[in-house]
Amino acid sequence: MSVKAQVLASGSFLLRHNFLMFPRLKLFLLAALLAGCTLSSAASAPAPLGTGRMLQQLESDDWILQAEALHYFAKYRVMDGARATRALLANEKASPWIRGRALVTLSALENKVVPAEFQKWMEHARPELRAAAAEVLEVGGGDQAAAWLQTLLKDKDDSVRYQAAAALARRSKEAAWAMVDSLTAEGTTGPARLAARTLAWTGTDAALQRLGALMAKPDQLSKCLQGIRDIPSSKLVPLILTASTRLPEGEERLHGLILTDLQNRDKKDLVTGLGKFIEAGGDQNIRTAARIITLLVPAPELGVLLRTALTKATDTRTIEAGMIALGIPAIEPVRHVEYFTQQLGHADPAIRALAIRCLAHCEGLNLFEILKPKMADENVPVVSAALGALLRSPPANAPRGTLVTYLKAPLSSTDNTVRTLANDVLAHAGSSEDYKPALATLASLLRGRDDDLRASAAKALGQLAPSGEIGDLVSMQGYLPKWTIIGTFLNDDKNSGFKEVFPPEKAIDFDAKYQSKFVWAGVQGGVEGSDSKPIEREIAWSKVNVDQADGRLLMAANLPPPGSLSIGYAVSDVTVDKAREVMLTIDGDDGFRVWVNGAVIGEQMAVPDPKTRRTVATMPGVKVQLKQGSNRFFVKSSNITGPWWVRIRVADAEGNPVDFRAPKP
Amino acid sequence: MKQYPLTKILVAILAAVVFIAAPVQSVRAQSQEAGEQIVGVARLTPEVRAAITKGLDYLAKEGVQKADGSWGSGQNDVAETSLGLMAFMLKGYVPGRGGRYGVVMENAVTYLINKGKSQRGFLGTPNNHAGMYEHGLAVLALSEAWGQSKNPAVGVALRAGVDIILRAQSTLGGWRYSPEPSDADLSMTVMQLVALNSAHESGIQVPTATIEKAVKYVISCQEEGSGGFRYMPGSGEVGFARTAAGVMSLIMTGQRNHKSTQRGLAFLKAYPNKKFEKGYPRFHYAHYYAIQAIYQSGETDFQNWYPKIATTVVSMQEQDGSWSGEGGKAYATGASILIIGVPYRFLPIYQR
Repeated sequence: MSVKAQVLASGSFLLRHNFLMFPRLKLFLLAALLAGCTLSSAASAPAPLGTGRMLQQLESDDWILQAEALHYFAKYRVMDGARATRALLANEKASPWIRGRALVTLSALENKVVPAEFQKWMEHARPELRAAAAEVLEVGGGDQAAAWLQTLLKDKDDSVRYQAAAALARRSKEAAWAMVDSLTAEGTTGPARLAARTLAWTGTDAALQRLGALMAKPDQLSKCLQGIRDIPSSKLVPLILTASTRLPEGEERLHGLILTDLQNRDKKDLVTGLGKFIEAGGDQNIRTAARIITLLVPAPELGVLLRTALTKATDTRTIEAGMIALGIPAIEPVRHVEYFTQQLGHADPAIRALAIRCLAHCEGLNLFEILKPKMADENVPVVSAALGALLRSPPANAPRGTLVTYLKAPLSSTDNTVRTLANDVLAHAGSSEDYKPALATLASLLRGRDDDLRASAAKALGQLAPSGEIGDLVSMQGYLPKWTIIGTFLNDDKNSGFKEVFPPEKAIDFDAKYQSKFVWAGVQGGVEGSDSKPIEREIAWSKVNVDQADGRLLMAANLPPPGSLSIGYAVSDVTVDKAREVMLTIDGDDGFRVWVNGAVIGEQMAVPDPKTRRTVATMPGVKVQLKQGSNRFFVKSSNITGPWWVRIRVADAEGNPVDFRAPKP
Repeated sequence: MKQYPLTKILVAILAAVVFIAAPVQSVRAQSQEAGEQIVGVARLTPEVRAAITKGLDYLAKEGVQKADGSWGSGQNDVAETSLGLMAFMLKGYVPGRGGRYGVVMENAVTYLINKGKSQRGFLGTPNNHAGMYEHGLAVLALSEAWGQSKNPAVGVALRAGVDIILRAQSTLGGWRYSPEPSDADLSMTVMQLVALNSAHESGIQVPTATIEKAVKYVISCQEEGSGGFRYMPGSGEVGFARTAAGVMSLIMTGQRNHKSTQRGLAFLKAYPNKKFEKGYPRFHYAHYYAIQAIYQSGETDFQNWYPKIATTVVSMQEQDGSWSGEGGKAYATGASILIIGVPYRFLPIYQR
């Protein structure tokens, strides 16, 4: 008797004996009743969280939703679903197939078969229900299962007979072979899913050979995989791998099904199966194994077998697939350095590039040494891969003082991607000793018209240059290198300060000092303990040399903090021998207004890019007439938050930089 | 041309000689007891000197230092002991060399050594968010002690402590709460960086790459516009304490002229004067770092800053000679002495 029943029984006893005389007893009874309920619920595992939704799904008229619910009930043994499942089974208006699924689910939940009731389903007019009865007998049915299966094996319907055979094979394994042999002999046509299941459960060599033949037919493979997916036999792995090799390259769906099946198999079985498969040799086997290793089982021991097999491979597709597998970190690519290094000399550039990428995954190598010959490779993707690998290498391995010579070929490549990457390598691994040779090599890019190449050359040289030489790099590109600046004046998040005229706008007096206001508000992320109250301070003009090789005058770094919600002014005076027209490129973060010799020549406020969130305003191709003698560039720069800088490039009509430096004696 | 009388010229020359000789005189002046004392670059007022002595006496008092040599209320004893120990070293006292505080300091050193022995080199309190902070602070204290006393047992504990820091550096370049390479934040990173730098100065080998990676991490915590530092790169508020910590660690690692350092110093100076007020959040933590950063920044900045903070700190001292604050009484007392005693410059980390 359950606890609940015991309490109920005691309750009826008390009712009969006027328990109301004992109020405390009444409370106890109530508590005990509740406890009984709880205890009785606790006797079985609590229903999984999705039960309620699945019960609703079962009541829908969508068979897919119903099937999902039944699968859920069986998988998680949701006893709360048994009643609804039974109702579905009894519902004659429901589809026979879903009723069959209900029968299988119910027997899984109740873990028993009631003979009188089961007989009804075995003899049901619809083959779907008879087949479901046969499926129940794979694991259920007890002592009577064998007899019932004999009956079902004589059924007129193929699906019922094959399902009964599968059930018998599952129960009897090798002993079922005689029956299975005749049922699945060549020439017979039955449902492939159940035939495969029958053969797989039988498991004899002959049965597996026949299963292999069945799986070799691409139009049957999908059904076969469905039939065997829950059969945990290591013997099935080689059959599945072989089936994979027979598939045409484009059969993505079937390849996907095979991977799904293999993914659910025991990893040890899979490793053993793949090992044997690789050892059997042949490009097709190696390629298939390599792909599966890459996607499913990156075991180092398989890597060793794979590399050994790859030495005999001839097809570049096989070598490619193999190297991809050997290059993944879990395979421990460092074990295969020798093989990768050999492939650096492969005739196919794709293999050479791949070998470089694999080497880049090997820790502890000096890639600068290994990849030196690749700097002169005739193929652009190979050189790009080599430079990309060097970018991830420790700079300490780079040849000190001779990096420019090392990078000679890519630095002078006709391909802009290669040149940019070579500049990046120089920036990444170069030292101050490389500066002069690098400048000699890259000066033409600095003075060139290609913005991207100029930027990458400036980045590299900026990394290598002594701090005193940055100004020269800036001038060579045509950027104004020397400024006198003042700030900050108060701005707000609506950029109101940009409209306000602060004293430097009225008259430029480098000796003047001003009382200005600033606020801490506006700093990205906020400033701890600060408020938005303006604070007053004295500010004065100061001379600044641009210290960024890309020509940017950093306003925030050169003016008192915080730099957010700020306005600053910058003046640069340049001298020209004779009057001339120049073309300006002005850019800044967040915004600017520029005067030349007192006349406004342009203004722009950046609109934040929703993708990059950058707020850079750019005005290219601004034509300006300079007069002979001194010319004054005057900039009002505004910032709301984040980086704050301004930059002006002065070029001729063709885009060649105008260098205002005084000629060196 | 105006003629100057000979006596005026002689007075001017004498004044110049006195001015030039001042640093020499200032070192000698440490033994002077009366009046205003010049130590290094700053004038230590009688109030500051008295406050330091009173504070050290408080720490040395029986019952304040526990029998095992530690200070603290049990929660962050390693941190409190480390700061307490450094407070004595600040004035030039050496552990184990006898004298007024020699035994007290030796006991504190022994406590830290024993902590390391019992925890396979880890000096912090296990399973404590501040554990790695404590570890760094203890390594710093032991480094300073090792630099002064060369006690072999200190060397063993120090090497083991440094080894743990080296192994716990995350791929980001920084450190976090536990002694394993998982994550990073500015506060923990600065503590380890300062500890490593100090250990390196005292002769323990520290790979340059470790310091470089950590410096990069610290710089990545800086907010570009304001120059202030955040708790983690790109996230959270910019703060005075964080900026002080960031700047100080950059200076200690040789980045004094780096634009990030200069920008950070500008932030510290521009930050509102409420930073000098009693009760400013994380007062001792912030000013422990800030005073060192400003001290390294140069004479003018230091002369502007030091009197303000010294006045506040002295005014916060309690009757018994202690200070109170977040982190415990010994922590606050040790930190207070280290803040106002910066001009003593006996600790290697306080030397320009």
